Amino acid sequence: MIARYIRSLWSDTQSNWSKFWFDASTAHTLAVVRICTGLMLAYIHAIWWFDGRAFFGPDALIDQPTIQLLHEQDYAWSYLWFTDSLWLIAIHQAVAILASLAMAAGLFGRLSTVLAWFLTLMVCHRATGLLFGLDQTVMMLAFGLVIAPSSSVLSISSLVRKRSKSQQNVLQYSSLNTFATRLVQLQLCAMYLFGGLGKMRGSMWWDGSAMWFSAASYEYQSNDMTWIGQWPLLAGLLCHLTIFWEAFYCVAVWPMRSRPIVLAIAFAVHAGIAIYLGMITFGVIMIVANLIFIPPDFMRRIFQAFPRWTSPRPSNTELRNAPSPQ
Amino acid sequence: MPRSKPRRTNLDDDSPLLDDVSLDKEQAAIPKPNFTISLLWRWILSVFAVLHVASIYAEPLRFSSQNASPVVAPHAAILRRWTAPYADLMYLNHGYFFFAPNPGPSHLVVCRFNDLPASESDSSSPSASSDGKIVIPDKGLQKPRLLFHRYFMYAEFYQTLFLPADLPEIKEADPLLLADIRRGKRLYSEVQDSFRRFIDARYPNRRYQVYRVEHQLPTPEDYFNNHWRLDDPRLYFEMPESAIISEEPSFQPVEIPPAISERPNVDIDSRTKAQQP
Repeated sequence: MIARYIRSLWSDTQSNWSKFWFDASTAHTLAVVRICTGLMLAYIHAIWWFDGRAFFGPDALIDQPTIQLLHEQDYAWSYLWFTDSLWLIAIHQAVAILASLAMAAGLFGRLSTVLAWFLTLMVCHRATGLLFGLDQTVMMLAFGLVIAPSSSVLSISSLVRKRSKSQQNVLQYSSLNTFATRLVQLQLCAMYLFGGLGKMRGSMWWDGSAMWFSAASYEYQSNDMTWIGQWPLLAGLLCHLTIFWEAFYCVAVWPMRSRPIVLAIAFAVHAGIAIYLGMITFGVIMIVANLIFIPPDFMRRIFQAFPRWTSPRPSNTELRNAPSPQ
Repeated sequence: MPRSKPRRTNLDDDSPLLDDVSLDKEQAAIPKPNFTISLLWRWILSVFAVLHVASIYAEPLRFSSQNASPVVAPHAAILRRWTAPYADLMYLNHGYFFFAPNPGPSHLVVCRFNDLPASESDSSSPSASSDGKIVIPDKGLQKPRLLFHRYFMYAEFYQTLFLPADLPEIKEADPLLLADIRRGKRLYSEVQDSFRRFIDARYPNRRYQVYRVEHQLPTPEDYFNNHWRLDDPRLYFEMPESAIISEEPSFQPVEIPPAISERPNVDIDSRTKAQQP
């Protein structure tokens, strides 16, 4: 009896594991994430380029000897540790911007995505001390996109394929789409889980004052949210909602009944961060990251509501030859 | 006309979102495969997934489980050590403590010149203000917002690394802890020197002082009843560089940063008044 139980447990686990990680799916959600991530990467590199001398030059805020010392005890590595040539840095950023834009457009398949991810990774290891949640999130998404063949839809490549009749309307399923989606989903769960657990250790998130002290940070503030100080009841509720939502995100986001609620809160929280706390890029990329929980079939239905986005318009000849409506 | 039963993916079988989803007839005719990769690849990717997810969870687990000493729970330390090569290389080594445990004060790095002519004040990046100071970060000068945030993160990093050079080293202390302290001092000193080289390259042959400033957060009472601004001069304090406690107060009020001081409606003298008992 015990042996039968163990056998069935093993077989169920194996089957559920395979289904969770490898059940083939389409790339519609990943394609949306790819477009947004590619554009964000291009913007990030443009900003690095804008003040390249201060960040990567021979007299950077954290110069070559310092960056090597900072990383002498870890396993990070970047070839940007060994050059401070502003020309090379400019070329690096220019190629990174082009690769990111190509990734957003879905050009050159995964090649552009791999290149954009790798060049950004090199910058992340060089720019230690200048990074924040935006970089962590965008790298999480870029790595998922490196694995998944996301340019099979919503891309210039797919548009070209669709123009050849044989490929029209064929849904391209791949286990790698699911695998990449799961990696990103689990990392997102970790971000919220430890964010929530961390906040639980602070008294301000329990007594409700954290909302005021977040709003009252001059350096973070982009729009005035100090009115929250006059609404202690609302501030307290928002604090508690934040910690419970963050801590339980990793559980509540999986059942499809609670998922829309969890995602709606995520969109509201991150829109608030983008609008009030000065981190527009971070707020936007976190909203994009949460899209990963939208089932690809649901995303595909959204595309189909806008057919002009996804399928080529019929040519004049095709329109002329089409049967006239009765 | 009977409605065809929607074909649902196995990915989210019980999705209410998909109840009304039906595929085009042409698409529905194409069978959906269960897997598109071989069993061998599924095994290989399964091992990779375990390593990857363990690497993601290792650093925040280590970070959360360390105490003030800092001593880390042994299992968290072991997991972090095992996953370190992959996590560090792939930039997965994050603590994810956003605004935690509490929202805290911001920090600034300020460079005050003794003898900077006004003509030189805006010739370099980051620019010095007309009163001869460079403040990192500076909302007024560092735009767009993401650029400002890079400088803001630098100032916070500079503050996080701070370890006073004269911090006494107890010989009987744990050798690992002692080594950590020595390395911490060396890192902070190197980051300070790097910042000085940064300034020297932009403003050669100038004399200046570099110091850290803490911008504390006003209470609702200060803001609403006493009418302090978020950038009120009374909220800025110079941080001590020494570990030796003197009879003087450890926080020294400082002149307000340039981007703020240039505003006409800030009463600079009010800071002095606020220090009176």
